[in-house]
Amino acid sequence: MLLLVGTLLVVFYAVNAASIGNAERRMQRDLDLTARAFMRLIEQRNQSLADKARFLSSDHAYRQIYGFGEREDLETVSANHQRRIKADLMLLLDFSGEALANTLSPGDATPPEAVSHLLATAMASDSGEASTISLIGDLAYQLVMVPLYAPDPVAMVVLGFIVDLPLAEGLKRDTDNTEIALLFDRGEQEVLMAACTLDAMHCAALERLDTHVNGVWDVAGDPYLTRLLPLGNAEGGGRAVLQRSVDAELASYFQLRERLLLIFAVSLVIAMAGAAGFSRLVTRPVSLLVQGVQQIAAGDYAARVKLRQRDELGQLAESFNQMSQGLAERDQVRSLLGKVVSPQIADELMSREIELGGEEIEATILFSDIRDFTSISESHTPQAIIHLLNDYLTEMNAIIEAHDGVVDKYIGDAIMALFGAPLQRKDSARSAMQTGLDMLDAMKTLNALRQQRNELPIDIGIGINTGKVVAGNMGSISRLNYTVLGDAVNLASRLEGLCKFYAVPIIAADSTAAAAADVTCRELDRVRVKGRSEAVTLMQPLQALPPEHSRYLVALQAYREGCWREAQAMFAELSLSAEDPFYAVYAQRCQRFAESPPDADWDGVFTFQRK
Amino acid sequence: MRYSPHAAALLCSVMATAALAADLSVTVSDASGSPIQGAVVMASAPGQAPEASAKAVSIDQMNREFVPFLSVVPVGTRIAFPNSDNIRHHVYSFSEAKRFEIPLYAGDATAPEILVDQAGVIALGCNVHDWMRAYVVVSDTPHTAQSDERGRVLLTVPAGEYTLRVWHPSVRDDEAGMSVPITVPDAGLEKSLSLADQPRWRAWRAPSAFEEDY
Repeated sequence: MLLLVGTLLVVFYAVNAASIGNAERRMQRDLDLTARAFMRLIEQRNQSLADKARFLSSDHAYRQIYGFGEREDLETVSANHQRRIKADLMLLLDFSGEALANTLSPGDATPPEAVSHLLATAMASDSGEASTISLIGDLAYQLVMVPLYAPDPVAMVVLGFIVDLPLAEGLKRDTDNTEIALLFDRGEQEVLMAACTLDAMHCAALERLDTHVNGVWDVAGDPYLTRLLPLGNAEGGGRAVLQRSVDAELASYFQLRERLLLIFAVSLVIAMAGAAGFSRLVTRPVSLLVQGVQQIAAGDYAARVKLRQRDELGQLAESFNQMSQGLAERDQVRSLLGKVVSPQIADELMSREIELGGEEIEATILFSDIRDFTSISESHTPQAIIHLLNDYLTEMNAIIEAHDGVVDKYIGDAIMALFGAPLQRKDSARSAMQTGLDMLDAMKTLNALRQQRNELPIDIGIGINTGKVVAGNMGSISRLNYTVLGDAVNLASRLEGLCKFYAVPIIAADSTAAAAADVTCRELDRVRVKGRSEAVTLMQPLQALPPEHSRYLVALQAYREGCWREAQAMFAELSLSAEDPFYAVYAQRCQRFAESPPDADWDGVFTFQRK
Repeated sequence: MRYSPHAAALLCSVMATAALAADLSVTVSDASGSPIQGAVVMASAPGQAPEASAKAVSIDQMNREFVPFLSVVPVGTRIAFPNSDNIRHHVYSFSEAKRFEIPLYAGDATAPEILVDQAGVIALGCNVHDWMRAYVVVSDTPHTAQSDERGRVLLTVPAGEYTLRVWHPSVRDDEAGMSVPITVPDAGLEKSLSLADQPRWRAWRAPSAFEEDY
């Protein structure tokens, strides 16, 4: 913008200087031409007047009067001839300078001084003719002198024509409206202005300006380029003042300058508007995009940039909007994923490239289940069931996560939780068992509440096993789960199922108990579950061992040694003395074994024939 | 040397009446010393009048010119102005020696005659043809002659006092050297006259009459 303004100023200055310079040069040239034209006009007028005078002087009647008439005759004929050619004076001189006739002052033999000067000029010339412009009295005359031929020159005829405003006006018309003033020196100081084409005020001012120098004159405050030209011969003392108004000459230039200024102003406004528009086209979109990016950086994925442009910036804005939408969707997916799967798995999924397949790791699996959920379901409305389940699962989930467990999945009312996967942990067994115990504690609190509301208590069973599993993303590439698979998982599920059989709320495999020796456990049984040849020792994690525990151990020893009756008696006694339905299970089994003992090679492992 | 018939007649007359004759030799030159040919030289003395010719002198008008251009005649001569052109002419003179006009006329049958009865120079013009002019020098003395190509005039005059006058168309009338008093002794006199050239102004030149300035 500054550059533009600067350029415009330079152009303006250059045009201004060039135009004024041109105008001044043109004025000088015009005035030169005018001066030449003026001199030619004066000369032509001299010639024309001389031609008239010559015609008159050759008039035979005039010659006859000259030849035969008296002075009075000559003067009347002279006056007559003067009227014929519309002259203002006529004189007839003999060569000695005496006036033979004088229409200006009849009877006066002494011609005016100017005429005497003219005679001297004519006598000295080759042609015998002369002309001048000179003052006679208070009037300026253009005087022409030619000989009177009879047929030789016998006298001189002088014709005078008053030089006044009409003549000056005519000259002005013929010189492209150049102002013309005619000045004559009279005496030492006095100047007579015979004609002036300017207005009265300027003429008066010009009359007071007694200068003899060409140049720009200040006439009543207005500048005039002035040229002085001598009029007639030197004795006449006359001069023509040719003037052209500088203001008038520059008028067209000033008009041009006004237009130029207007053009500059308009172009400046257009340029500014253009620049503003351009800036709106470019800077506004950019700043909007910057705002959007800052919003994104601040975590506001709702940021959108609305641009209705179809250029690169418009495309950029569109891409930006797609990006922020993508980010918002990703954020949504992430938060949803955190709800669908556990946060750890969500992080695992987010951080790694998702691929099918897994790795074998050691993990602890916890299964929990609501006992007799089917019958509970039947006694509640679906909404109440969902409500119950959501409350329950939310509570359990919190406990599991508190122990760094991961909910693998919900299967109806059942929960499958992982410890040590996907993140490997050394104390996964303890965490799992502690989780189980905390879950049971939570159930007590829950059931107390339910009891206050006159609702039936909910019992749950928990199975925990530790072992090798295959962990990873499983399913199809479009829909897959992070989960664990393996025998250890099945066993955990089986253990959970055994809770009901043993009438205990929680069973952990011996592998789990062994991995966390500091967790109090009571050995429940040694079993061989279906589909599994290896025996498993069932352990029940406890907050503390019950007081009858030593007696239980004795009874268990009796059972293992096949002393069914003794064992049966002891378990029956335990069952009665302690409020633990578990002992009844053994009492019953011992009763059955007593009636139908197992094989001789029985190793104390109870085999489940059914699942 | 060339003599006009009048000059020869005058000379005879002088020689017949004067006992003592002397030679008057006059040389006319211009300011630069060049001889002036055709200058009319007149030596006048009281009592010596020329004899007028009985026959009229003729100045014709041919091809819009007077012919001859210059005539020298004694006082009392009649001059006729025949018109040989087939157009009209209007002869006039406003010279002091003779003022007259012969208004427009044609042919020579009615050619008017003018009597020149006063000495002087008569400038003739034609009113309708400004370029036409002729001069008649009317002499009051028998001792009149025109200079030859060397500007010389030889007059034989009785010794005595004379007024010597010279006239030439290109010399102004008021020239100081135009009229000088001389005394011619018995032994004769040689006189040199130096005249300033005076260009005479002309109204117009004839379209074809004057090939060169006279």
